Amino acid sequence: MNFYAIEILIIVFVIYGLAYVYYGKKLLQEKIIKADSSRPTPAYTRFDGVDYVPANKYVLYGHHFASIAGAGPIIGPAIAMSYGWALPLLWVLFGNVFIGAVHDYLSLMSSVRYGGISIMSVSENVMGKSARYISLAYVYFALLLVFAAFVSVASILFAKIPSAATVALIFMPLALLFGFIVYRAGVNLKLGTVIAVIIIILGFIYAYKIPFLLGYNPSNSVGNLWSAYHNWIIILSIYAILAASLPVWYLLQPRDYLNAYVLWFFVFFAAFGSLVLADYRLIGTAYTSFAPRMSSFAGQPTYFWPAIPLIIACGALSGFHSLVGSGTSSKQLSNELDALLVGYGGMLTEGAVSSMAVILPVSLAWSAPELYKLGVLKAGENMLSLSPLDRFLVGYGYMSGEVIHRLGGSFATGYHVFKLFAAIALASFVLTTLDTATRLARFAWQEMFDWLSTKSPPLHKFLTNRWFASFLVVLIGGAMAYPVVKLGGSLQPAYKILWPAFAGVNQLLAALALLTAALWVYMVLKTRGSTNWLIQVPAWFLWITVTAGLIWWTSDVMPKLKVSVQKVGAGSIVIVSLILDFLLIYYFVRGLIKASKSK
Amino acid sequence: MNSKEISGTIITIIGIILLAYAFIVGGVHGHIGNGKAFTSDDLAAIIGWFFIIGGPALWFGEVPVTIRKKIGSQETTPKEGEKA
Repeated sequence: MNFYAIEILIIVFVIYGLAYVYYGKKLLQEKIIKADSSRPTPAYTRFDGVDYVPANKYVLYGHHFASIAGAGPIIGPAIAMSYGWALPLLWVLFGNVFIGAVHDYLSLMSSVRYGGISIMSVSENVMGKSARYISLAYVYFALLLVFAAFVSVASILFAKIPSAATVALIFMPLALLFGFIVYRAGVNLKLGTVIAVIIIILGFIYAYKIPFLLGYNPSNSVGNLWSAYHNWIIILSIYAILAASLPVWYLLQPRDYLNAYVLWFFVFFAAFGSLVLADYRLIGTAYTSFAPRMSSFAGQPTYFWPAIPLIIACGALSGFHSLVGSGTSSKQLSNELDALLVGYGGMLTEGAVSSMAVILPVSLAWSAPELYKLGVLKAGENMLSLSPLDRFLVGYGYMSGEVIHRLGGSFATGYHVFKLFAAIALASFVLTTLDTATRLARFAWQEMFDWLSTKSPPLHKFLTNRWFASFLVVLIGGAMAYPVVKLGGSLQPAYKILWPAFAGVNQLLAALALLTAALWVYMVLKTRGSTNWLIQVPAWFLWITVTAGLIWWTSDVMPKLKVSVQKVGAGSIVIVSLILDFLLIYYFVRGLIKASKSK
Repeated sequence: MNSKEISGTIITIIGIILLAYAFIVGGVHGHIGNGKAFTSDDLAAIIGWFFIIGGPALWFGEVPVTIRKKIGSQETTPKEGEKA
């Protein structure tokens, strides 16, 4: 296949544009959910000034988008490039439109209709109490793992790329300032945005020149990098407690709104690049193999189906999104009609990050001569020779460098500046996801103990205190990230023992959320006929795919893991996930039969 | 101003001074901190950062007037059939 960059741009935008109008607006919003702008949302009915606070539509879109777009939409597609670019692109486009965006929108709206509770608690209404508490406990554990992973990734990035740390130093106070001038000084949102964006640009320039080289204890036995890593873990853990416990209007809303501009620029520049480089062909291989061997899966042949959801999560569909949608976003939605942009639109935008900012640039850069001249690739190598993170950074840097060159600048300067920009942007998103995950884990913890509110109010008050609940997440998650252990011959953060299981845990969560939402649509909204099947079929497809993926992982990948502690740790989690998976489908079918009998 | 607001004001102002100090020293040296032993500028950066994040919460801790107005203008009881 001999595609031009401009053709990919057109395909992506036409599919997403049509999906937004016809699938999102006409089908989901108008026909199934029947969103009503006059119906008060939980942000008003349960307003508490901390978590339940109405947000401007675009502010909330920024929060939702920045929170769901951690490292996932970038690293996943970069790994999946081992299939060539065509299969990952197809999955990102169609998985996103028919499964991911539907899952995100319905999770958000079902939560809104039940007072802003999590999708796990919504499941009680359609699958029973046991389903609710099982899934709450499961999600809490998953979020502890997410915290450990993200605090670790952010700490490594800050230790290795000190300019990213400078950006964080500038960005958080700027977000507070932005919130202050918009919420308190009453400055117009557009004017406030312009001021903030100018400061962000200046901040990037400052950070590019002035890295933040955090000190460390030279006598630390694990070496300089890991010593700096340990210091960042402590700093970011304290940050996460603060950010997850403070009211959303104070830091989360303004910070994520501004973050969305960074993400937008990220996507916009890639789209602009494909216009400037309209005559460039994708030199990357469109299709390599249906089952290439991947190091992320112990070097085993990794079949596109059913493994693809375990590789590309956030860009196409991810269970974590249902937690954000039914966690922070549903508590801030000020109008039901805003949910289309926030839930469905946020997911499509994330798909655009994967397709336009990762798959397209990597395919353009594949074996470009400039990369050999710069010494990035050696003779006989191509982009697949690089680590997934480097595929993304080099690909984005290459595409941007070519754009700058065509506009009259230097390729090498454009390459280096935008490669650093991509790394800094990635670090910003990771930090956003870090404190959102802490807040979501706090919600799950608080919901788990709601039964105690009548039995022992003082104990309930203590356990669900927002500072205590956030501290607990950070304590357990931090304990998984802080120690450094030897895995496969090199030092790694301890959470990596369990990390291979995370993809399965996350996508099982997606299946749980979509099945819950599908049952809610059938049972409560009484949707029947072909419209019902448009929700049921993707839900079943996802469950079958994730189940097959977990079985494949258990039979093919787990036995080949070289580190025995990893085999036991991650393996046990996946096996428990499989048991829950079947339990879940039992509750689902039971609910479906009950609903069809009652009509 | 009550004691909470006064302490919030002091913390915020100290935070701004510390962070400004770190940025200025960083601008002069070409980097904040030196990547070896802790220096005054990297400590100022970290402490200032936390003070700026936490200080205004004490200073302006209450919900902003713009949000209160928004809440006041909306119906705050769920419609019939909606689970509260």
